[in-house]
Amino acid sequence: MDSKYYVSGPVGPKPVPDGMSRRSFFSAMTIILGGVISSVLGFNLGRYFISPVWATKKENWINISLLEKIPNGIPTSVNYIQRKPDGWMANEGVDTVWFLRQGNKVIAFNPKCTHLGCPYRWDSEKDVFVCPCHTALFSKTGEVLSGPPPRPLDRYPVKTENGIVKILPEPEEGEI
Amino acid sequence: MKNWLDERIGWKKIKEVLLDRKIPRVTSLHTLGSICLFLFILQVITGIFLAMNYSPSPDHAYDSVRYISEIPGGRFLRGLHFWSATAIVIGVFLHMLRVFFMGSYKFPREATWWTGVGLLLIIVGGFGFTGYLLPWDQKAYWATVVGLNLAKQMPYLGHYIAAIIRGGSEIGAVTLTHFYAFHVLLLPAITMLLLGSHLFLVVWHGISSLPERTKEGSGQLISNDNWKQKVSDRYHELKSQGKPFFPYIVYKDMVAITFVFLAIVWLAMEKGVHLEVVADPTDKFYNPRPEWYFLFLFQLLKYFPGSFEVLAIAVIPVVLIGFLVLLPLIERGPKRHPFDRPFITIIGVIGLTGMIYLGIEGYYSPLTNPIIEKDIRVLDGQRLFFENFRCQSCHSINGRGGVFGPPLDTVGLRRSKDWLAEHFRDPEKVSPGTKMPNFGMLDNEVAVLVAYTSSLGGGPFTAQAPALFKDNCSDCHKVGDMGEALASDLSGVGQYREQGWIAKYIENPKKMDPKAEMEGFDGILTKEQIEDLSRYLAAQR
Repeated sequence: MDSKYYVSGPVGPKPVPDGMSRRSFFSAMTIILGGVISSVLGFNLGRYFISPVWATKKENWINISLLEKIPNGIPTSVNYIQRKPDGWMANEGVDTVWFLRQGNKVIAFNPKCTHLGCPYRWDSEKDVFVCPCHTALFSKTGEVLSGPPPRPLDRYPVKTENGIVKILPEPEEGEI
Repeated sequence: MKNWLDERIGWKKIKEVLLDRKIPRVTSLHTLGSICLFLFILQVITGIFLAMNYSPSPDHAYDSVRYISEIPGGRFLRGLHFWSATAIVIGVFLHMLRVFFMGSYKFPREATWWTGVGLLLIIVGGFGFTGYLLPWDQKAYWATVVGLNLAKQMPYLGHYIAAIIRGGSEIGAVTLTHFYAFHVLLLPAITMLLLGSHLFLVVWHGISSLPERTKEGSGQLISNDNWKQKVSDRYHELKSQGKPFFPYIVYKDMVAITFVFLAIVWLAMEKGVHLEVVADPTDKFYNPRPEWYFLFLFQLLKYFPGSFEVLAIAVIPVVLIGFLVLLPLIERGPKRHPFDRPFITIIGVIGLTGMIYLGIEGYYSPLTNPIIEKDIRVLDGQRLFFENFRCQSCHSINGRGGVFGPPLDTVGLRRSKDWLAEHFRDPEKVSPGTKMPNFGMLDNEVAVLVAYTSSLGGGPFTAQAPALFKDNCSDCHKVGDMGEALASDLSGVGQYREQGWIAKYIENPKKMDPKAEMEGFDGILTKEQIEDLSRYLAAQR
């Protein structure tokens, strides 16, 4: 049978040249090329997938209240509507903040207990913040008086402009 | 290690059957199948990750696609998905041509061919059509409108088919969830089945050898008795002289795949993926055009007027698909070389030439409508204005809307962008005592609202503007009683063109509409005069 139509070279294993055989060269090249494709793809998939880890939150100061409307010296909770970016959309949700105004100075407390995130309230008779979960007590300025919380009440950055109190609420690390 | 694997999964047998199997001599064209397989896997991987940040709802689809581009690597992944989709269409088509002209679909590989035809239809028709809608931009919307109306014109069942695909009574939320489920659940499942069968058959029968001229290589095959046995014997002879699949064939595939991958990476990075403005069913100036690989069908429709159209929509595709399906049954026997079966080769060449010719004709057929450049930020702002913050409850534009706040027809002229931005951020600050509430707008929302409001209304024109029109335009155009209507009557032009567009058109009409016959006034009128004139025209409602 005429062989020129179907066989390109000598049949059977080729003689092994110096160093590397054709076979192991092809195997190595296949693995290298596969590695190049996988790493280009893997690198981009990876940074896309884990990007939420280092996503930065934008500063978004929120107008809460006129300074004069916050009672002086008595912790007061104020509900506010916050417009938050949520992926490709913006959501409006009601949140709350505890204010303690001392003259022109205002402290804004994150309304979650620093122990496990329960919502605390102000007990005006005893002059303390009370967390219902594990009966933690905080002073008017947020210091821990008793109970398990590891640190004083968290504070939000706060500023007053043109008589309007603004806060920059940011969830604490690890908060759900 | 290898023994351990062997005891558990039978590695030695797998290696023997898959990796060490001998492959007869093949050409570079035989890498096309592997390229398609690679591209499909690439589609699956990128698709899975894109789905993590995509929302199949008309309210969110478009914004979520844009959001993907903002994620690190997101633009690139979307580019890979898009360009590998394009490549896979080319790939499966070329792969089919290779099999067609080399007669590889013949005994004993008919079933391999049928699974392949199934894959071709699913990939081009199924994935292409459903994936197209997902970004929910103009192109997506109108391509689906056209596709569904084509389906409707199929005889007898057309309306039912269209209704099922559409899901709801019109293209909307239900259509999008339907298309999404098809695209990411149903079609991949069908593809896995077909692809699995296809690959199994490829291994089972072995990769077909190169076709040989009957009179030279295998003349004895012509005799009708027992030709199947002879084909099989000859194949095994060629196969035994071949090389092991791994690494010789895999290496060749890998080199080809690497080239294709690098090309796709380049396209994804350089060209990206064009996202048009959000779907707008009311747009009267859009030019719906199919993707380039459907241009031949698009062009074909033009040759079948009225009641003959059913020929192009139903008959021709059915004949084409039927031809592909029946091909291994029509064209049997041992002859595989294209020159040994001139009839089928000529049919293939004619079909291919026809498709290419129609495709090129379709590509160069002129657009009917001018291309209107739209500022995507202005449109975003408009959506926020009307749909999110509902500013029209208090403000009016063109006499429509509330009366509680000032009308905004000419606000773009009256207020600076800085003023507008401050106004949106904190109304009290720039207008003390204002009734406008502070919406707590996010920075990007402020930015696009400024873009929209500052584009509003050309604002007042000067007393010279009508005279400018009379001197420069009235020989051809008409406004009210003034001028001649040789060219378009501009009496109501402000209803459908915004001032910015008119200004650009006066400056250089060719830029806005390549077919425009009007000469540009850039250099004839000053910038201020063009601005003035465009405001005058924008006020013609």
